[in-house]
Amino acid sequence: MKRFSTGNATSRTDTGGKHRRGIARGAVAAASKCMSPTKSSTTTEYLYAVADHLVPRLAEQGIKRFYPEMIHESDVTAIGMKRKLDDGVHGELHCASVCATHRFFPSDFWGGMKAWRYMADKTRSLGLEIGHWFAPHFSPRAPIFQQHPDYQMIDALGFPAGGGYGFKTLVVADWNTGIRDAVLEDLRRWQDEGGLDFLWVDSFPNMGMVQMNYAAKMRTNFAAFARFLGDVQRIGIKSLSFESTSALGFAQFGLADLRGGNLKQNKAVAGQNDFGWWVGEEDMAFNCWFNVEARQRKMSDL
Amino acid sequence: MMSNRGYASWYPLYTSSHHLPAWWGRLNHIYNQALPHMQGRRRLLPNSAGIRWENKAGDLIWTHRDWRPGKGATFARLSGKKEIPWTKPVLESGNVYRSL
Repeated sequence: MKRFSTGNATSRTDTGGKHRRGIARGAVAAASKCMSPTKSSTTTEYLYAVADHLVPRLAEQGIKRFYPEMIHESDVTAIGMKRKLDDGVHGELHCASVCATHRFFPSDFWGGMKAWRYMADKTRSLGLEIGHWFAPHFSPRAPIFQQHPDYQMIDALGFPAGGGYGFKTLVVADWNTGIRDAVLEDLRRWQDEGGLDFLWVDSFPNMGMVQMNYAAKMRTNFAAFARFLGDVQRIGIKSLSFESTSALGFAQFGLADLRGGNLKQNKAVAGQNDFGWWVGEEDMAFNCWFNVEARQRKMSDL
Repeated sequence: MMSNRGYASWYPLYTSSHHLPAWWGRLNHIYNQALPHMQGRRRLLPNSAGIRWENKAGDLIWTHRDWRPGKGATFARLSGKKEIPWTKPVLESGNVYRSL
């Protein structure tokens, strides 16, 4: 299994939600304000702009892996994003994001497979690998759930499992069902037609591993999702990284910098999401990728 | 962290246009050059002077402090683009060296 250890420096652009910062924030924000999504030259040209202007800069700076904004089919690309402020207090409350997947396939909203292919070709030509975000959950409004309600994980209360986000926002898939083959086929096409070298698997433990299907004898995703990821590698998407940690790939997670200018560990605060924990423990960083929110640091400290 | 095959993205240090500080880009290139040699046994140098990767092809050393290797050893310093023969007795802090 190819892991971060062979993957070198990685870069990405981020969206809103629990992600942040990135060259396309403006584009996503603009899209998010729409009551319904409208393809525009801004959105459909995004991947071309990334290919022509960002990727060469990343290559010059030694970055070897890259994944852009999430451009797959999601609530944002299919129905836009509504807020209470848009509808009034009696309107529908619908707050989701690009994390609310409809289908793991390049959306027309962002230029479709043609635009992806252009970016992927440019990225690979400069010696970088190209990847995309992935997750074990979908939007409750995903067409595949409308067609196959049994593909949803059902929680102990009998609702679709929202994994703490609420079942109106996200729903975990039961990877023991036919959703596995449907997603694998989409990824196979993406890889074949557009080029796709790696996936970053978001919410792997909390949405992928923890949930149980109470409508199916408390069935878990443990074996099924692992088998699915193995098949992902088998079709040629060889590298996997994970939010938090996993035995199946390298780890990626955020680090908060809780104690301002104090680089030494404060025993009062424990936890590996604390930057201070790692100071002096750098040997533990093997195969880990950190998104560090450092604060009040001098360049010499860093 | 790079010396241990870990990687840190320092969010506050780059702009939305992804211009990294020069030192970061330099480290990326050095890391890419060093990575094929970062295999085998990983050891912490005495006094936490750095990390040494030991394998059949030789040692790869990241120095966190100045470090004086044993006599007779010869090294090249990785620049990110090429290997520069190193003749000084001390491997200087903040660099990466490969034994020849």
